[in-house]
Amino acid sequence: MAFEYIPGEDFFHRRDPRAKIFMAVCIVIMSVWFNDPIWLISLFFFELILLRLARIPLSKIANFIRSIFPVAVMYFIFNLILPPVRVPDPLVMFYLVFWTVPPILPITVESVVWGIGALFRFLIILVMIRTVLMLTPIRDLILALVKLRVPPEFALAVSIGLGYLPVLIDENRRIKEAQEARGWEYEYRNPFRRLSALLTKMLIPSIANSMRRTRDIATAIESRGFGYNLRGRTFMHEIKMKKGDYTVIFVFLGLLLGAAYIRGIAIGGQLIFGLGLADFQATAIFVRAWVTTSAYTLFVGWMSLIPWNTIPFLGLIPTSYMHVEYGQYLFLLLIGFIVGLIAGIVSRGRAKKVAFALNLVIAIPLMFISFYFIWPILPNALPVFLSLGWWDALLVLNINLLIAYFLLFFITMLWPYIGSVLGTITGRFRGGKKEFFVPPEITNDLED
Amino acid sequence: MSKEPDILLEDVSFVYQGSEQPALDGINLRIKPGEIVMLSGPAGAGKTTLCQMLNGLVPHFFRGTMKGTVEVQGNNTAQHTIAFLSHRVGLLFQDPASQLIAPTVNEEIAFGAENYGVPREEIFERVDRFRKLVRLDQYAESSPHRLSGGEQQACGIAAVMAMDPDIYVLDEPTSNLDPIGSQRVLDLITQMVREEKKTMLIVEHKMEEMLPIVDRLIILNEGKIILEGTPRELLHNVQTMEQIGLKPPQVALLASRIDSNRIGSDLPLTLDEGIKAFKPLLKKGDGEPNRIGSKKTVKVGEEIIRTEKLWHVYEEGSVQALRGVDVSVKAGEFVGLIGQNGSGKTTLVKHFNGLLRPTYGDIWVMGDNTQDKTIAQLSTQIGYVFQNPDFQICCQSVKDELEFGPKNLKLHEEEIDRRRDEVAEIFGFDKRYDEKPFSLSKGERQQLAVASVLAMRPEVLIVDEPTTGQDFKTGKEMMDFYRRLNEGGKTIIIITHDMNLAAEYCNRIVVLRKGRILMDGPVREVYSQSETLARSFLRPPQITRFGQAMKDYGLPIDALNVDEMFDYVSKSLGGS
Repeated sequence: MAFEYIPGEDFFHRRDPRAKIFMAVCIVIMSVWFNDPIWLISLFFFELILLRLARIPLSKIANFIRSIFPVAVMYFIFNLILPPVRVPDPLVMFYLVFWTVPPILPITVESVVWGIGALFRFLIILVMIRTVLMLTPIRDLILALVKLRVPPEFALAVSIGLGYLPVLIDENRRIKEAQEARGWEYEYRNPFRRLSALLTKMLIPSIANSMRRTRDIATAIESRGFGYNLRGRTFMHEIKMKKGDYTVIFVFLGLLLGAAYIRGIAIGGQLIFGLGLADFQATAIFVRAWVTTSAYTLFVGWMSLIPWNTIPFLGLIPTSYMHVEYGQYLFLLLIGFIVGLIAGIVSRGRAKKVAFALNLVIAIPLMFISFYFIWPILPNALPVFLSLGWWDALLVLNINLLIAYFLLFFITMLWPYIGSVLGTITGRFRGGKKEFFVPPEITNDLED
Repeated sequence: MSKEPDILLEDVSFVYQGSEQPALDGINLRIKPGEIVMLSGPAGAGKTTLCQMLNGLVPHFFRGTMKGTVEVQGNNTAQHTIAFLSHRVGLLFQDPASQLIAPTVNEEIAFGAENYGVPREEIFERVDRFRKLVRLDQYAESSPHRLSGGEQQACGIAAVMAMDPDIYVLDEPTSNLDPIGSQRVLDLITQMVREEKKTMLIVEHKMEEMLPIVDRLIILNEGKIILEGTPRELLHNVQTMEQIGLKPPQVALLASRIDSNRIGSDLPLTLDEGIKAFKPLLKKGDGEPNRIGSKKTVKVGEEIIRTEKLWHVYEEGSVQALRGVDVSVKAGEFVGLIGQNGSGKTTLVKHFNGLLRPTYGDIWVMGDNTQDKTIAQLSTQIGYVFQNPDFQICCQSVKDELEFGPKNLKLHEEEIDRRRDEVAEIFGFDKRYDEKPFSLSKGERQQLAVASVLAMRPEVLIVDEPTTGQDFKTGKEMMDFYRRLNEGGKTIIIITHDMNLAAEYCNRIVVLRKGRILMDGPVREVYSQSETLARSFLRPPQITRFGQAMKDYGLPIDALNVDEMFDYVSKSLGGS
């Protein structure tokens, strides 16, 4: 489950939720300040050490990373193509759209370095949020929110939403089964059309059900006296800051200040505070240097023995636009290899690994398709939405956000489906793991 | 001075916003402190509206035009907030899952008390006490959504009790539960009645279980109170009750058809009373139990579904849901699949159309192993109607919904049109193609769901809980429709908890227990073995049990309804 609390009695578990939130906020701020992949990777490992200290099994985190990996890769590719930071005189490796004059969408050494950093920032932030959720029961988080002056209504809406997640997942499984039972299936030849169908066929029943559910929850809450006296409400559990909590806050405040000093502040290229480290351009310069060293040239010399222009496709590219040196290709291949390697490690089963390649192609269009299909439904949903009171509207919003989260989750879960579809084509994976199951002997147990 | 009534309704009428039909119409009701009142009536009679009126949900949350006054302990509900009234009136809803809102059972129970600012120590004390009372101690820190239906409703009861209201209003607390779950909840209610000595209004249909513990029975129909009095007084109207779709105790029905000179003026309320009343009237038989036996033989065709050593183990928690099931269904049968929650009924039928694949063993559908077939291929042979139509309906118009299945099969356009028109005609959807499915009534949505499955022209139709959540009339119409389909040659499999329903429509019963087949045979044969059935927490209709208890008196042990039993009883009486 996505919001799973892992009970524990160690130092980190026992901390006040506010201290945990502060810790998470510090790490998130640091990850935003840094943009150098080397520093971000170090921060990621620091986070893993914290996890280890909190006795959270790393396998749980590995599973989590596995589940968000396609989204992380999407984010990486997005940053690769459109890095938000402009660098003077980047070293272009090749152009994604090389057939136009002039070619557009360059992939540069700098954007690759930036992209790797962005990928790790993404992982750091999500793993941190997940860690806080694993360290803290939802109840304590809600209490922390209330103590931090969030209105109890809002805190309750969050709490109910999280509590309903298992119900939503179960509901979505039923919806999918109900459609499948009427011959609906994913068509592999045209994944775009089928995936859009998937979204609409799931969305209509989901939205209808969430409207009904909202009404049910609202009546249930009202009937249990919510809002009788919001200020005078008691909370069964209470949270209290202790010495250890202040220690954690103090230590992480120190780390944050240290990070601020390392990163520094520059105005107009002039450093006015700190060291100015942890910038991706430093690493980019290093990589560029490597790309142009003599050892590298030697390597390229070897590479140039290959008659590249006789290879189909590559030979078609007009050399004038091929701003690519073979070594830079190699660098790109290396990146591809690393991404592929990580994908290979995090995905289980052969079919899934094949599916991974397919998914890279599918994931990005999917994002646009989902937007495209949500818009036409809005005019129908909007009048109903507007007719609700603000309190119900809040619940609807909250629940629909969860549905959106779930859809994201669902997209991730498509992997195994596509895997099994591939399996069906080859006819090798049908029948599941039948041969591995040996039914136990049943002595006549109907008498028990 | 007589004590002020806890609940007082004076000439109350209510019309929901956007509706013309009054939900309640001229209701007068007084409930004294400590009184236990049972409210019954067919679906749509206004029972829920009445319940929700007592804590102000009507008219403060569900708006409409209200006439007359509702007072709770002297407080006019129109002038007080829902939160204020809920402190006095604890309301428990019908659907257990939709009223549970906290992440753990403990917090669920505490929620109401927290809202009323009860001191913390007191809350802890109440949570412990009521959690123990409803026997949920082992789930204190688990999510209430992970509990079974009966446990969820028990949690809901504890949550209401922890608010310490003076009046309990329970709105059909058992109607969504399986036999074991509803037994548990009814036991809890009985216990509450005995221990708490508080005012209670219970909406229930299970008269057999409830009548012995209630002080007063009120029957509502079309927004009006049509009958009111002690259970014993009202029993003389059993036939009226039956006509509007209620299920009065069958022994009372039987007795009401016998000359009152013989049976006495008081009709039997329970099975025991029934046995006591009839024993003196009947002669002892010759010892051999009587059987009615099947009169008409069912024409069955070829084998259509066969499973062999079917095992299914769910990956999560490695639950063994099916443990070696061998079952064979033949064309033209009307099979009732019964058993408590978690006995594997749904898991089993999901194998028939490929939604689930066996962990071990095989299934053949019309001679082919399902291993080589996709769900889409199987869907042309096996139609599956889900319990909740809202999970199934996924299109923007009735027309699209009916075409959804045939389109998935990639049929020709003329064929799609032909099938759509054919199934639309059955339920009169052919004039309503452009309507939005979600603007249809619940019963119509159910019909739409069935029609869209029938458009696939399956040989077998599987229906999960065919009558749950429907009123008596539409439920009966749907069941009669399935019967006609069956007589036309289709094989029907229903999953149900309702033993009376299964008795009336099925010709074969398969009882599952813990993933294995406990019993399988013609309905009379299965129902005549009450003791074996009890192992799956099921029991045959009261009238069947009555016959079994009276088998020494020449009554049949496999009677399925009052009519059959009446034939025997009147024969026996006529002879004396």
